[in-house]
Amino acid sequence: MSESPRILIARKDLPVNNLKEFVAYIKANESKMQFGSAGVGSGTHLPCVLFNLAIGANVTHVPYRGEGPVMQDLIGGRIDYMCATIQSGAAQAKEGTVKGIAVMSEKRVPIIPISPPPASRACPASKRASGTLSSCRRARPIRSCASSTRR
Amino acid sequence: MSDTIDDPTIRKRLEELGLEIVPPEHRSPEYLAKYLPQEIERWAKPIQAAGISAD
Repeated sequence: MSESPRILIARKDLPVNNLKEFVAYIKANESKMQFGSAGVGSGTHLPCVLFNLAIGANVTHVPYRGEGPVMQDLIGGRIDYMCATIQSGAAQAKEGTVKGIAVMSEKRVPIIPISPPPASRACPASKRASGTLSSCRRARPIRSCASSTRR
Repeated sequence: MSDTIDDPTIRKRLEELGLEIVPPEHRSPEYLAKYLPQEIERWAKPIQAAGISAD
């Protein structure tokens, strides 16, 4: 029914201002960098894996228990970047507590007017990070309607 | 539900919340049956590259 893109955000003191600089910085510093996620295999982990693969970078993954703690450590500058859900990531990027690098979507999303080119243009593989699926057949009673969000 | 998410007011609100509404032809059980195998194939590479396994 709907899809919800991830947003690539970095700690606010990372010395980059756009996706191009970000990719160059990772390539130069990959052995010293860490990216966080809400857990192994989660919807905030796999997009970063895909992104790292697309740019050919080998960066240490730090899994957390949920997105909240990752965001705290990113704001605190203890990790370098993450692929956050657009809702929480865009809010922090707008506040300036983290640096918004790119929205991992094919098109600009109204929630954040981020100016760098979308990640999809630089690495097509990382688009469409997570989908929300609601399935409901008319013939079935309403309680069997399933709504699942992959995170 | 499909009609509801095409309602301009609802759609605008969902988009403001950071959602992207998929086109109507992507909302059927038939499309899902095609979409899932594609997604499995698409994500297999990064999952294997990252050494992730279900346990």
